[in-house]
Amino acid sequence: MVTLASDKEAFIAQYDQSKGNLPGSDIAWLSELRAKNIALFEEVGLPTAKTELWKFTNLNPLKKQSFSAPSAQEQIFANSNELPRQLPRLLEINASHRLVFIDGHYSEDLSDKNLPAGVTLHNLSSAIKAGAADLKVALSSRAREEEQPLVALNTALMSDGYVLEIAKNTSVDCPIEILHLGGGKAEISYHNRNVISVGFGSKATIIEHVTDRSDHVYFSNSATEISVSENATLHHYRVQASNRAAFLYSSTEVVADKGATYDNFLLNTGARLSRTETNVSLNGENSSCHLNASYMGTDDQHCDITTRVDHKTPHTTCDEVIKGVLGGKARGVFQGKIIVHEQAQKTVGNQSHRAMLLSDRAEVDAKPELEIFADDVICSHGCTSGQIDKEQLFYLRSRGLTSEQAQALLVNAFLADAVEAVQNEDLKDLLLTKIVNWLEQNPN
Amino acid sequence: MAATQETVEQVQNLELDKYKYGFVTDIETEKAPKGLSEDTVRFISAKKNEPEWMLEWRLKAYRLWLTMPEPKWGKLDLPEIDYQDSYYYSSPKSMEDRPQSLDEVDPELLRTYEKLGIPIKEQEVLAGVAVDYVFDSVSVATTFRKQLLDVGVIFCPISEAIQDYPELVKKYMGSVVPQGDNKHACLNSAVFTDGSFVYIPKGVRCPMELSTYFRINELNTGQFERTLIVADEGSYVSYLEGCTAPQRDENQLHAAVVELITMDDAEIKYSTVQNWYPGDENGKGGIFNFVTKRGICKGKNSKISWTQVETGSAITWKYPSCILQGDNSVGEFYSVAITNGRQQADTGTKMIHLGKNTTSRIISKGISAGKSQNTYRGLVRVAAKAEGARNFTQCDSLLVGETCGAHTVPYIESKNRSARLEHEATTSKISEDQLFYCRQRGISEEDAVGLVVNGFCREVLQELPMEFAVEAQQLVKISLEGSVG
Repeated sequence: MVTLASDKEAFIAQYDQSKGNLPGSDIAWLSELRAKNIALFEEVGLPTAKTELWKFTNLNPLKKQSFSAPSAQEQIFANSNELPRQLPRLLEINASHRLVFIDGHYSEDLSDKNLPAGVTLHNLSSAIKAGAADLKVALSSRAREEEQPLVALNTALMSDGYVLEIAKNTSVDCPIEILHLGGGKAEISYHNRNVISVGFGSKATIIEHVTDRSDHVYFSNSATEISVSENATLHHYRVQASNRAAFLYSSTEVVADKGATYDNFLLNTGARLSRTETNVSLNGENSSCHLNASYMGTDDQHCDITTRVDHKTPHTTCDEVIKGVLGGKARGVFQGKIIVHEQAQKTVGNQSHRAMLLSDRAEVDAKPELEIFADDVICSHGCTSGQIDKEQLFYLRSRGLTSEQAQALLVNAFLADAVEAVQNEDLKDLLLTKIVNWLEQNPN
Repeated sequence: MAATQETVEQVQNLELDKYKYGFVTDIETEKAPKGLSEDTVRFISAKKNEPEWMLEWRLKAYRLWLTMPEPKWGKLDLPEIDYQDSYYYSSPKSMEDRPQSLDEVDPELLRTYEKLGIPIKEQEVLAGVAVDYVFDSVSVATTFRKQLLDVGVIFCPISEAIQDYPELVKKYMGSVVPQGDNKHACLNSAVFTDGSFVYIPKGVRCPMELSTYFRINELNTGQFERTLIVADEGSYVSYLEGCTAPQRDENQLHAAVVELITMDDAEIKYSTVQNWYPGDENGKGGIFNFVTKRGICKGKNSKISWTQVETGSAITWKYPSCILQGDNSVGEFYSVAITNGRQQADTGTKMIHLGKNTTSRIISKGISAGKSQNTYRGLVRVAAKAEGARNFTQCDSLLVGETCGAHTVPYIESKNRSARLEHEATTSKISEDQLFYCRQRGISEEDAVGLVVNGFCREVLQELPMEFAVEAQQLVKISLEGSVG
C-alpha cells in the first residue's frame, strides 16, 4: 500500500478503503453518520494553527507521519506472545475491575469477566449489533462538530471502544480500570469511541490508563460521550503515560443532569504531542464538575489541555485546578473556557492554572476565558507562570537538602495540589508516586 | 427646590440629555468627494500640500489596504462596513486660511468647545493645558505652542510636522504601527487627515499636560487621525486625548493610529477619555471606533503608561499595547470600559516583553449594563531572552442587569523560566449589600450604582491627570444612566 503523509487525504483514503468493513456498515443510520462526518472532515481538514482553538498546538509533526489502520483483531491476539507477560495495571488485582484494549481493540480474554452488579459492558461493535437505541443519540450528539474535525474523523472511522452502562441507583464501590495499551506496531492510527452512561442516583469510578509497550510512533484519536443522570456521581480519572513518539488526541463530552457531579482528574506525562479536550455541559440545576489536572513535560513534548464548561441552568458549580511543570524544550498549553449562559444565574465558576518552568527552553501558553451572559454569578480565573521560588529553595538547602532533593520536593508539592481532590486514596497515592518517579527520571 | 420638582427635572434630564454632547455645529465645510479611491488619497495629500514622499507612503498603504482582510477575531457583532459611503476629508471652510491666533478662530467653533466644557481660553488661562483641537479632519488650533517651543518641545498638528520636521516624521511614522499591521491601521495610513505630533527633546520634562480634543461633526464623515509622540532620552510627557461626536442615525467610522516611542530613561503617560456617540438604546447610529495604539519602550529604563476611560462608541475595538524592548522598561495599562444600551466593546492590551527585567502591569475594569457586551482581550508575551520579566494582570468585570455580557479572553505566553506572570480575573454583579447600605442612607438607587461603580474603577481613575479625573468620574455616572430600575 502506498503510504501518504497523513494529511487529510490519507485518512479519507483509509475511510474509502475500510468503510465496508467498519462495524455497523449494514446499518443505514450509522453509514449515513459516517459519510456525513467524513464529508465534514474533508471540508474542514486537520486543524491548523490558524484556527483559534488550535492556536497553540501545531499538528505538523503529526502530518509528517504516515499512518495505516491497525491489523485486524485476530492478528494482534494470535500473536499474543508479543504482549508483555504482566500487563500494566494501576490498582491492585482485587482493588479494581479491568478492561483491556490492545492497539485500540477490545480483548475479552485479557479483561475481567465479572463486572459488579448493575454494570453492563459492550464493545462498540457488539453494542451496534445489539441495536442499542441510545447509541444513535450518543454518537450523534456533538454540538459543535465543525469545531472538532478530529472527532468527525473519529466518527467516520471508529472501529472499537466501550459502551459502559451503570444502572440506576447502583453504587459501584470497586473502580473500573480501563487499560489502553498501544505501540504494537509502528505507524498505526486508531479511532476509539466510548460511551459511558451513569443512571439515576448511581455512583462509579472509572480510571483510564493510556500507555504502550514500545517506542513506536502511533496515533490514538479517541472520543468519549458521557452522560451523568440526575443525582449521579462519576469519578473519571485518566493517566496518560505514552512513549515520546506517540500522538494522543482525546475528546470527552460530558452532559450532567440535575444534581449530578462529574469529577475528573488527568495526570499527563506522556506522548510527543497530546491534546486532551474535556467539554462539560451542566444541564441540570445543582450539577457540578471538577476538572483537575497535573501535567509534566520534558524534551520536545507538547501537552495541551483544553476545557470548556457550559453553565446552562441556575445553581451550577465548576472548579478547575491545573498544574504543570515543564523542562527541556517542552511546551505546555492550557485553554479553559467557562461560559455562563443567560439563564444560569447563581453560577459559581473558579479556574486556576499554574505552570512552573524548569528550563530555559520550556514554554507555556495559556488562555483562560470567561464568557458571561448572566449577572448574578461569581466567576474567577487565575493563571501564573514562573520558576521555583529561590527563597523556598534556600530554606530547604539551609536545612541540609541537596539542590536536587530540594527542587524535587518543591515541584512535587506544587503538582500534588491538583491531585488532592482525587477521592480514591489508593489512586491518590499512586498518582503522587508517579509524580515522584517522573521527577527522578527527568532531573531538569 | 422642592423634592418633587427636582425629581421631575432629573427625569427630564434622563430623557433629553442622554448624550449631552449630541449637538451639531453649523459651520461651512469643505469635503472630499464621497468614497475611497486613489483619487481620494491624492486629494487629501494635495489639500495638505504634502511632499511627494508622503503621498507615495499613503498610496502604498492604500494599495495594501485593498488586499487586506477585515479583522474578525473580536467578539463583536459587526455589520459589513461600506467604505464607499463615507467622506474621508472634511475641513471647516474658513480654515483655508489658517487662523494666526485664537482670536481668529471661528467663534461658532469656539462655542462648540464651550458646550463640550472645554473653553479654549479658559483652559489656556486656568488649566495651563496645551490643547490641539481636531475638528473632523483638520487641526483647528494649537494653544501654548510658543511657550512649548521655548523649552524645545514640538507640539503641532501632524500635517504641519510633515512640512516642518520631515526628517523626524519620516524616521518614526510607521515604525511602531507598520502600514500593514491591520486593515484599520492601514486605512488610516492611507487617508489620515490630521492628528498631533509631539517631540520632547533630551532631558526635558514637558512643563504642562498636552492634550488633543477630537470631534466628528460632519455627517457621514470618517475621522482618521494619527498621533506620533517621541520622547527622547530622559524626557517626560503626559498627554491626554478626549473625543466626542454629535448624535447621528448612521454609523460613523473612526480609525485612529497612535504611535509612542520612548528612548533611554524617558516616560510617556498617555490618557484617553473616549466619549464618542454610542448610538441610541436600540443600537441605531453611533461611532465605530477602531483604534490601533502602540508604544515601544526603545531605551533602557523607559516607561509607557496607557490610561483609558472608554464610555462611548457603538463599537470599540482598541488594544493600546507596549513593546518592552529596552532593559528594565516598564509598561502599564489602566482601563475602565463601560458599555450600556447596545454598545459593544472589545478592548484590552498587549505587553510584549523583549528586554531583560521588563515589568508590566495591567488593571482592567469592565462594566456592562443594559444589553451591552464588554470583552477584555489581552496578551502578555515573554520572549526567550526576557530574563526576569514580570507581569501582573487584574481584570475585573461588573455586571449591571441580567441582559448584558462580560467576557475575559487573556492570552499568556511565556518562553522564559525566570519570568513571573500572574493573571487574575473576576466577574460578579454589584453587591446587594453595598447597594442596600447606600439606599438605607437615603442615596437614590442610581446614585448608589454610580458610587459603587466609581469605587470599583478607582484604581484606574486615580491614574488620570487631576483635571480629568473629576470629569471622568462624572462620565462614569452619566454612562450608566438608565441602567437601573
